[in-house]
Amino acid sequence: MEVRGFAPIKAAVAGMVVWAVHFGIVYGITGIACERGYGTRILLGQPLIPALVLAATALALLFVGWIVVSAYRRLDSELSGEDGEDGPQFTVWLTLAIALLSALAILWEGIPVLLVHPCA
Amino acid sequence: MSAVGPGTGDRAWGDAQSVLEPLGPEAELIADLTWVLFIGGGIIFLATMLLLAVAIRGGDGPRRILGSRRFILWAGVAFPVVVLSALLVGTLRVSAALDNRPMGAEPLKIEVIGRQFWWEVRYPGTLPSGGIVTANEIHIPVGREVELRVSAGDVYHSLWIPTLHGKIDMVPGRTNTLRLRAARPGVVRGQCTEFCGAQHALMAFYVVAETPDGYERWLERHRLPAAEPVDEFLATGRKVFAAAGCGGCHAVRGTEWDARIGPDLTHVGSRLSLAAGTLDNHRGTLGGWIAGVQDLKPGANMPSYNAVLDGRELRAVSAWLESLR
Amino acid sequence: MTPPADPLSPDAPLPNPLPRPEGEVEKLKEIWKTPFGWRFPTVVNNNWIGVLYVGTALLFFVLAGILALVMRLQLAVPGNAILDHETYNQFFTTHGTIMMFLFAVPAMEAMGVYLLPAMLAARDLPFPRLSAYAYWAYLIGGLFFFGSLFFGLAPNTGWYMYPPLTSKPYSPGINADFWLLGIGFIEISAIAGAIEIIVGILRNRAPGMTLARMPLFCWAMLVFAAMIVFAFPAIIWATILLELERAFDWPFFLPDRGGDPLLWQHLFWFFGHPEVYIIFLPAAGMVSMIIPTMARTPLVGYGLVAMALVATGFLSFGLWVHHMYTTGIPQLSLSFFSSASFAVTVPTGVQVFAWLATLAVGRRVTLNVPTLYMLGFLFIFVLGGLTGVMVAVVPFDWQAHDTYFIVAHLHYVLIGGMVFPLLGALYYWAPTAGRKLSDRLGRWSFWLLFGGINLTFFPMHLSGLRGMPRRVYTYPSGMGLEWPNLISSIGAFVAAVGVACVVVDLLRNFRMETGGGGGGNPWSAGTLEWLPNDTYAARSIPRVHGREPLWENPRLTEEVEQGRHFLPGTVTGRRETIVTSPVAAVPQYVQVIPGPSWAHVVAAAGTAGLFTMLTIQLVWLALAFGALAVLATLWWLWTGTDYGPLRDDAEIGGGLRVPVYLAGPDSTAWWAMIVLLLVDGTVFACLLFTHGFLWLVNPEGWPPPGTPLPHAVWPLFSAMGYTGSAVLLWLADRALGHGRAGVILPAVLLALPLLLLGFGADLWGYWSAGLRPTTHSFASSVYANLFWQGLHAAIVFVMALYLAARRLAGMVDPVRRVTFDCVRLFWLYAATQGLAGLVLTHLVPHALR
Repeated sequence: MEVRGFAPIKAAVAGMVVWAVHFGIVYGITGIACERGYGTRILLGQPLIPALVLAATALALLFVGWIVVSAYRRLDSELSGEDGEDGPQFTVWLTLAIALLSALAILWEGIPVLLVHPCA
Repeated sequence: MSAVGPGTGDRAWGDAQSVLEPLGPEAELIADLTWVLFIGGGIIFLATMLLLAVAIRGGDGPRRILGSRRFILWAGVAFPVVVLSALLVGTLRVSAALDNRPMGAEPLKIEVIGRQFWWEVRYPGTLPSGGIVTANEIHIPVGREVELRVSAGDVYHSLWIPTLHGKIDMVPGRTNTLRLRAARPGVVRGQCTEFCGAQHALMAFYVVAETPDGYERWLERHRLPAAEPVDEFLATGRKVFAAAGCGGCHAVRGTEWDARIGPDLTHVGSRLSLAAGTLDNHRGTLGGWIAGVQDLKPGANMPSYNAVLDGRELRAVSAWLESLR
Repeated sequence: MTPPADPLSPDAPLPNPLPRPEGEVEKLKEIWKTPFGWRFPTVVNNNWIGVLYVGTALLFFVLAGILALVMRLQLAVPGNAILDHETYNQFFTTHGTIMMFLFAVPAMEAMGVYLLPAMLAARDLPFPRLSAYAYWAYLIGGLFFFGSLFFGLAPNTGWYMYPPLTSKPYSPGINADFWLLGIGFIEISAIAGAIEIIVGILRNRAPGMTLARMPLFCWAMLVFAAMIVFAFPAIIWATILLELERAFDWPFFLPDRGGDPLLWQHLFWFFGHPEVYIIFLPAAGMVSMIIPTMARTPLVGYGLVAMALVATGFLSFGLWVHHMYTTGIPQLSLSFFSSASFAVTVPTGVQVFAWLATLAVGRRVTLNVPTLYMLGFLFIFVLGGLTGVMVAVVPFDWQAHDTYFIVAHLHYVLIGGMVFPLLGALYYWAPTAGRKLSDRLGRWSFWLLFGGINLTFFPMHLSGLRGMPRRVYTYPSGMGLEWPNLISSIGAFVAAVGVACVVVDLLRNFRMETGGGGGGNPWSAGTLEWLPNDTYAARSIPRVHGREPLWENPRLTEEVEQGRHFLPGTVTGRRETIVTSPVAAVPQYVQVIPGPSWAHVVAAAGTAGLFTMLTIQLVWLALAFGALAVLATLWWLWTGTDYGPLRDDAEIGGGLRVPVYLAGPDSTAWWAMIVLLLVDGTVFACLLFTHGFLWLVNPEGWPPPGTPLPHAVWPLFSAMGYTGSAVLLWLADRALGHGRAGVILPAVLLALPLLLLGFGADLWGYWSAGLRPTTHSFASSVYANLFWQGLHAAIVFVMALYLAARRLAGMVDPVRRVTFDCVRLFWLYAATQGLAGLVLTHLVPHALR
């Protein structure tokens, strides 16, 4: 376990950082495309904005999925304490929990493109 | 000086600005959604408070169930995720139903420009050289899609007709669009809902949903220029208007006055209210308003004329304005 | 021979043996003595600053509450004439502004200042003069701001200050400047507090208090402070832009010259939404401390709650456009914010049910005053949270936005979610200062407030849906608004009596024992702030093995008092605290912290003077105050920072010998500077956003056709200047690392003019090309960058001379290099930011052409 380092804290919030980057990207793409009139463009046979948003969402979910899996693998229940209780691997457990919630948030961010017409 | 609208006449003024008394399909959709949210929220609130009561005073059995991590995950994660997912999908569909996608039939376009502290309303294309301009009142035909294109002439305002739709901001430098439709005739009230300065509180307007024939008649009458004075008294009133310099701010179509600083007065006598929904509209309130603007609505951009015009002049000009129907 | 056990292990013997040396405690008391009499303003001890801070916040709460009472009188009946429109508009603006900026955030910072060191068993915060400075600046600035009401000069355009209404043409008076300058610099206080709290929580914990064992209030404050770091820059930047527009006509928000009012809204709400979670999360943290104590059981789901706090902190940054649903932004964009607003509900729900579960586990919970406030919080906050989910729904919000429905929602969540926990916290933690407050007055206050708040705000849901907009000084009769408004007004007075009960109770019963901690542990709580503490906090710094140390080890109090844990005295003869590692809380060094002084008080007065005098346009006086602030700050830094190694490594107990001075990336000063640079970088990110947004909304051309752009030689010179100065600093750093301190002075004295010339070249490039900031938003954005770079150049100038002076005084050498490191960090940042600014304002416009 790290004695001096800050790395466990950075790892713990990694899932949320992915969410934040994903959020910035999908909002940025939509905002710029709608303001500049690219809303009707087509990319590979799909409307541009939904295509990009769904691609970004899939990518983000892959990233977060990787964080979830790697945290889960590192988690030794003896060291982590039972589900977030006091233990040397608390920060690993935290990484996992935050990443799972981030995955939900990312998924919910992607859903609007399936239901709402862009730029209307 | 009585406040206009609510309380006068035989209209159901009480609900004229209520979200829960929709006059059109857009507002109806939102009102239905409102009820779902209220009832759902209410049930969840009561259930949570019930659980709280059990937690602090319940029997050992129930409290053992509540006092576990598993309960936190069921009540705090699983349940919200399910409910919120459903809510997200449901509400996004309502959003989608209310968007501004291009549609089949051509909507009736009306422009509204928010100003401190009144509403300029234009009907583009209704005159050979442009369109009708009126103020503080919007007439629409029942059953037809109306597209309000709103902007602001000075600061940020927001246009809200709760019985017809949600609100739309009037942003200086931009034009926003709101599509709505009245399902049946009626008179409803709207108000500015973005703080815009001193008299934001007294910036309201009326929307008159007319039968299609009624709307055509209204439009026809408004296409006409201002009525000529039919007697001496009214002619005097018009002279007072000229002498006091009112034409420097107010347009009256059919005369030489075409300024756009203040509301267009071509058919001011036919409106339901004065001073953007603040006062009834007849020669008495007209006179009172002109004389004492800064007492009734201090901070409005029009000065008071009680020092400039005497009683006789005020009565004459009010009568003339009242005759401009 | 078996190796010595890990000194932090529970099996190891206690760190320090008995008997303790003669005079150890007396020495501790002496160096931690509180200054009294006329010297009292020099006090820096967190106990005192915390109490002053909370008291001042409560004062502003009462003042803003009185404004609300008068407003409710005005709105009790339609067409009322108690307040004219202008006074009403000033009242509602200052009510909101004071509540948000002078009460809510400061109150939470104040609780942090007071509680955190005790909870972490640190002797004080890592930079005590900094929080004291923040307090005095806040006090003076806040009173000045409130005073504007008495001159009819208070801002009157809403606490959120939307342009163009707040632009000069529509707000020609100085009312808006009271907000921009008067409140603006109080944001500096908030950031100072945030730096203090982050470093304190991550580096000043009791040995063995791993992150997994840290009290949840500390988790909440850590998230709170981190949120301030990333949210406050947005409003600082927006404030700068609006003030530049008003003072110098730089058209950021004026559409006729390429500006956009929505720019303000994005910047403001990017701050504004996290702001409300900044206010809520510490309160949630307090609830997570109080409920377990009252239920006499550890919190169920500690890990889940810690996760929830962090997740809420992040997610809250994705909600800001839900304050802008009606601005005409496209549906899909709005929907992203709806999704995120839903997402943030989940961690909040986790916390609510964790509290519920804890109450369920505990034995029959006594309904004492703190518990009552917790229950009241749950009722009111959950109701407010549910209306929050309602307004997260875009179509519903289109109806509810800017009506009294929102007024109802926001007061339910803020009063329920923050005021109730705060009041419960006052009743709960009062014994740590001196003694318990009155149980009777507490109960009266609770029931009056609970009833009053519901009576006041519940009817507003109805009046909003019946069509009553916000921020109106009157409303028409006949629309069904009379009854809800009358009931609200009555409720407000009921609540006011409740507040009065609290105020009376505090005035009569709150005691600050000079020694502190005389009230014992009446609730039998388990966390470290309940150790008996004097001005020096606990006698010795306990070794921690779990989350509720006092429950796990009933003898801990006695052991700590006897001095058997770490650092039972002072090793340097000065005020000290232990610095530990961020995750595992292993002791790393002993930090010497400064004591009372006038320097920071004068600096605070100077800072306040600068901004307040600018508000009333006494520019020369303002500059004089500014100079005073700078000089006082330098004096403060000179006497209160970078003491150097006062002795060799010291034994703190358990066989641990640690240095008493540390330079480099593990020093708390380095960490503080990094946090400051995160703030700084976030402001620059807002600057980047400003350019990007204005480009987006100016499709006809940004820069507009015909804009003069500088010759390439100027940005080239500028880049050379910035880079050169950075390289020199880097070289000096390496030389210092090899023991060659002699390079510092020449390096600094060479690098400084390079930086200044670098900035000057950039400025001259645009000025000589003929671009003037008033012509178009592009021009003002370019000059805004120049303003920001210039500000940094000026700061580097002062820092460089300070460093040179310290070097000449023999206070900088290869070992004693904290000052050099901090200056270097800031310098490198400023140079990098300068280069980034060059790319933004030279390369990008050429590419866009």
